[in-house]
Amino acid sequence: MKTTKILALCLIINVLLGFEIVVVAGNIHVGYRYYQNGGWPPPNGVAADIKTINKDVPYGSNFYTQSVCVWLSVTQGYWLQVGYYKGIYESYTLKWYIEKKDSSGVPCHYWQTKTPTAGTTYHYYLDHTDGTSKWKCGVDGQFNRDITPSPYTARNYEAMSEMTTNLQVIDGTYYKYLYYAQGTDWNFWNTHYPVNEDPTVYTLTELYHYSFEADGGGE
Amino acid sequence: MLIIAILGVLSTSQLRSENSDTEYVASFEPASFESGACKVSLQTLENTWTERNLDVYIPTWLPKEMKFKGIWVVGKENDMGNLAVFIYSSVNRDTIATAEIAFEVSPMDGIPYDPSNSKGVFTSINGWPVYYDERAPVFYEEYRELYGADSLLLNVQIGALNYNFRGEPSLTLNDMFKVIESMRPVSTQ
Repeated sequence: MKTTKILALCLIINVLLGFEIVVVAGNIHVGYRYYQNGGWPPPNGVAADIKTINKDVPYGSNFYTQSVCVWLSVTQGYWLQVGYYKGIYESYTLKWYIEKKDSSGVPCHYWQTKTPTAGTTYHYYLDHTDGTSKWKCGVDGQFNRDITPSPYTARNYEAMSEMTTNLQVIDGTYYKYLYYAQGTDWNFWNTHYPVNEDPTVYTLTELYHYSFEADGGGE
Repeated sequence: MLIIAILGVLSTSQLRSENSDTEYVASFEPASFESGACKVSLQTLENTWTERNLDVYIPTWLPKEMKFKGIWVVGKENDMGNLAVFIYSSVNRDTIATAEIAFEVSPMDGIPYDPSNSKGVFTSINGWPVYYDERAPVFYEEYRELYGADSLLLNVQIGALNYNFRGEPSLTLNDMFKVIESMRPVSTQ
């Protein structure tokens, strides 16, 4: 039996036995979405320098992530994402990951062996500058994985913190620089649309089109 | 019962301990498109995009008495971006995730599917390049609750703009072909 079938069977058994299952809906996002208000949208990639924060994760099926993301299809819900994570999947330690959802039908989540250090700023990239259907995904000096999603062309970009509960504190969130690639040139974001899905709890500080801070969360 | 319990524990530990480039179903998600977008009229979109030499086409035929329910555009109404999502419904479903037909449109060089790793079919309609997949997954929970995990997907390149159509599975492929065949410039409507 294939691993996925075994895993699916085990998940069903978990449900029947009342074990805790990681299924989260309606996560909260705070950050920026890129939009091109002039001519051609920059199709060749997105990158971000993100400071690593290490916060306690509330008890339960909770986590937070900080990432950059390429929308490959809005109507289908396809994307590529690279970032770091802390929460229930990985014993509440900081972990790097890449995620892909595309027309292949199997959401892929790639945990990395190396781990980020709290307080350190890393350069995350989703790089499509070679003009093929391949994307280079990773963190400078730490890891890289080439992924060929289907479809392979960017519709849009975003850079967000994602939280499963507004009890999650994200004080100190700092996206220092946001970049897009046009051809092989990397430039700072020249537009942004602020997204704060729970402004009663979280504060988004818009420093520049290419930089933001965020705080809040908790009791 | 003991074996079942062990399986349960094992599966939970597998979820938590998989490491180093392994794969499993995860539940991360970007913000909903509507969170960073605004709804605009067709006239507003046409006026703005025409200034950018973007000639938008829309369907002139729809199945099942579907009605146009709106356009979501990334950005702000007076400063909108180059990505728009059109939604259509016969039962007043007016979100991107739940509409029976939705298409996104943005500038692109061509069909964004690579024949070497795509399971669909490449063809043409009205001379426009088309790619379609009769069982393309959709990852929105709201969609899956209504229609199941898959959709019809048709991607068509018309001039500088690429259109990606999603049709809920009770629609036929022929319905969706007719929708694409009926695409005409907004400026001629």
